[in-house]
Amino acid sequence: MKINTKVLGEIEIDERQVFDFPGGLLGLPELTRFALIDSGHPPYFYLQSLCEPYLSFALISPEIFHPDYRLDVEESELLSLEMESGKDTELLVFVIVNFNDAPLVTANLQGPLVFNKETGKGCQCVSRNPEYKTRHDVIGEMNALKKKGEGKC
Amino acid sequence: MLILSRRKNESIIIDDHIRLTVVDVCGETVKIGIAAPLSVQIFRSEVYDAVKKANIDSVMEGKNLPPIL
Repeated sequence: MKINTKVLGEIEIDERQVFDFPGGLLGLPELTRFALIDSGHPPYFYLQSLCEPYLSFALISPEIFHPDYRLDVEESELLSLEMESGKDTELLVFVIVNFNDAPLVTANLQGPLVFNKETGKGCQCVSRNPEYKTRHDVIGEMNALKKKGEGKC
Repeated sequence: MLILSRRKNESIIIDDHIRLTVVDVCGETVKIGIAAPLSVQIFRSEVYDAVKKANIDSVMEGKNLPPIL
């Protein structure tokens, strides 16, 4: 299907890229349908609202700069993903990136986005881990990680 | 804003299915118990506000993606 977007123009997406967010995003409950789009520029993905063409977000996997990132959320928060009970479901976890403090690139580890590819459902959760904040310096933390790695060798 | 006075162990019912109970009062801290259906999202307001603000601040202006790898 073709969709119109402000940032990417008119693009073609597959049904499998479409995710329902029954609860919307926090503070933006009306945004209940999104497309998850590989940007072609790793490690970025786009999250494009299908309700509002001008609303898109950049996402990355938190593991890029937090290799031990854990989705520490209340189980009830994942209800809307409609996971089958008693079955392991592979969930995609992304965090929203903010470029508006350039040259700083920050990521929101406190409000991760979770996608269930099997049901096409997604949600934004709130992490219980007090170390996860809304503005982590991605490049700074990646450099610190590299340094730590070098120290070990 | 509706303001109600409650003592320890007294409750407030919201919308037939959410019950807030004052569990304890100690100085400036009030402990509140919340009984609600699992589908009701409950957050500390400062956390909710922070994530909401981060969401709104992160809406993309252009399609440029600064290299980070």
